[in-house]
Amino acid sequence: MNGTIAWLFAVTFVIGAVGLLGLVAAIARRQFGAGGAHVPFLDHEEGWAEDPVATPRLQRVLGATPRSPDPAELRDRDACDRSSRGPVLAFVLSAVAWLAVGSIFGLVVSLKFQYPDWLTDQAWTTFGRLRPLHLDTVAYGWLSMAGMGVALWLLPRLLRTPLRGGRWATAGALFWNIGMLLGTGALASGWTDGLEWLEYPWQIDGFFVIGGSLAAVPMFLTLPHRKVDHLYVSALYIIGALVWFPILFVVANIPNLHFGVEHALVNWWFAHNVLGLWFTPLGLAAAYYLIPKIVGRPIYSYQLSLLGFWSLALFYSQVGVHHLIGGPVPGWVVTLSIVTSVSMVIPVFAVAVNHHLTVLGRFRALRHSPVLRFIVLGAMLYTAASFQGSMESLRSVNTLTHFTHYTVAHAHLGAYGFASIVFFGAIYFLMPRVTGVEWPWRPLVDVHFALIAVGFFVYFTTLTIGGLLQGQAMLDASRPFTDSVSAAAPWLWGRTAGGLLMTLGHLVFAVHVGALALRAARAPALSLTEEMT
Amino acid sequence: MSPADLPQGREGHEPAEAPRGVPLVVAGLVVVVAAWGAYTFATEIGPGMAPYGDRRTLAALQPPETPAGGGIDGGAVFAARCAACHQADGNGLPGTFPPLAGSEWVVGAPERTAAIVLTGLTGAIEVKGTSYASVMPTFRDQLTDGEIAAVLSHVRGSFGNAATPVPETLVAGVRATLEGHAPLQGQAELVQLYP
Repeated sequence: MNGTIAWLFAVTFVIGAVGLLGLVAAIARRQFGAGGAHVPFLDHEEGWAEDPVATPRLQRVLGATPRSPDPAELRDRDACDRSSRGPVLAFVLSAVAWLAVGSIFGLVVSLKFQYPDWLTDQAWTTFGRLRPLHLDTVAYGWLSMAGMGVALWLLPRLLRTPLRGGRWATAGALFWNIGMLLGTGALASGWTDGLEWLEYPWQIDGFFVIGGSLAAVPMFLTLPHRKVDHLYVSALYIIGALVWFPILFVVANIPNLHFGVEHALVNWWFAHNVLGLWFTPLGLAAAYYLIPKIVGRPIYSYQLSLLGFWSLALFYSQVGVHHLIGGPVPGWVVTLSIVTSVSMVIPVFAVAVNHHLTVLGRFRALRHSPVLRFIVLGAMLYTAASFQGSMESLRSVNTLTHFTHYTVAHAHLGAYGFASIVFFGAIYFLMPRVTGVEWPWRPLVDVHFALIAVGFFVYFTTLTIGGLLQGQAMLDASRPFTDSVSAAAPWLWGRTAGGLLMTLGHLVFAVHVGALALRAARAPALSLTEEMT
Repeated sequence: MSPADLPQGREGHEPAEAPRGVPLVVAGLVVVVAAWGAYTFATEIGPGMAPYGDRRTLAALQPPETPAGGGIDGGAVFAARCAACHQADGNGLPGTFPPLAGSEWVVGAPERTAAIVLTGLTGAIEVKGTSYASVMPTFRDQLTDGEIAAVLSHVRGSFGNAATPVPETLVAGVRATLEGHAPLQGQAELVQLYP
């Protein structure tokens, strides 16, 4: 049984290697032609920049000239946004609510490191229950729902045709929320499957499977109607993510199938793929769309974006086993995982070149465009988190950092620094478009950014230092274990302080989103489509 | 209303990708990573190399080889037959039962200790500079050759002793030689039998 899973890993690796070589060969032989350069975009729009909360100076900074938009193009774009309105709002509004709840769980958990006797009267407020509640609420409630909302908004725009079957996705959001509510109640009451990232009882997991699958239905219904010859790289990432997640989630949660060591393999195969094949592609899809959109410049290289996507798609699935370094799994599976983990520098570098060189020379725009600030910071932290992750998979580094707060800081660098911050930016950009209502208080966007940027910086640096000290103390057999606790303890105040700022930022964000939603509910949305038909 | 009033009216083109190809740096990185991966596989995966995730080899996981006595636990025999007098820590009782820890007899010629266990011993014997005159019973009928070899090996390798294990054949040889022999009369007879 153990051997079977291990061989699956090996076969996946070989298929991935062959596939990637084929792609490189195809690129070298120019079988992809000029690629994305021929995607219809209006020449006179090049250099034009937009950000719903930007200051007017943004255009001047980017040297853009005002233009008269093509009415037909505008009408299509408006029709796209209107078609995705229902499901996008369902997912995004739920996501923001879960973010607020999940942040408070996280803050309480962090405070328990300073006040261990606080909130210990009720079983559900103890560390062992709140910690998985924090993880699952932000992972499945916030990140997953925000990602699906952003993806559903991007799809019609990427395919240049209104979203078909949006109601399926709205129903999906309903199922997902029911799953979240039941799962949260289950974990609070102590009912859990007991594996990290897979805590929700399998009896409840069906809601997520149905919800996630329903969310993917509009994609399959809309793809055949696409009005583009070429799929922009964001579309590839979204298609990949929406197909991969239900498979991952079902396979990892099947009851009475996984046992023992093999269960640990499947656990980390899933947990790491949730990051790499679910949050990452959704976040990258948003970044790949919004960076060129806001700076008004095409993505640096089409071939590079293909290399980035396919090397992620083909190799990522074997990465997770590096969590079992030192565990009783076959040694060659661990080695395979380390090699693929390090190989992830290829897609990461490809994405980094594409993102950063597209922005290069236009960094002044960051001062004037809050949305770009979110997206660019998120993209930079993606690069940082991924390189850090590759390094952490090496046995020498892993020995020091694994099972310490360092790993916790790293996990937040990816899930928060990258994915969450990109989703913040994307939500700021898309909400005025799907609702037809502008952001009520633009300075709040800057407040939000400042709070989470400073908060996250404090969170990450203190936790990283504390984790390294903790790891050093644990590795030294001559020091008592409690040394590792007292070495890290003062730094954990940094986590609480940073987490407090981040939570405050999220509450500001939630209030702002709520205010916009209220205005949209009161005032009928502006629409070109109605005017022109 | 004018299109510019809509958020959609203010935004730029749909994103595209420039046909720039793969920069040389990235191509170089692919080659370097592939070479490193091949090297890692070649040096870390293969017959005889750490087959387990914690880098232990199969050999490290084998139970320690039991010398003579084919899997008999010498420690268990010692606890059942010897520890009552010689004590669990092998130090004996001062003036009454001689110590095994650091005893020159224990780590000396194995034929002598085998003979003591097989026939028993009465009369004086000097251990670590102290003379003892207790009675050691015979174990000829209670223990097999394998068990005696195991317990002798255990005693020779425990309590700070570090002598080689005793093979079962040696015990069998001594048993044949001393067939029906009365308990040894002190250290004098022992040294005379096995000089």
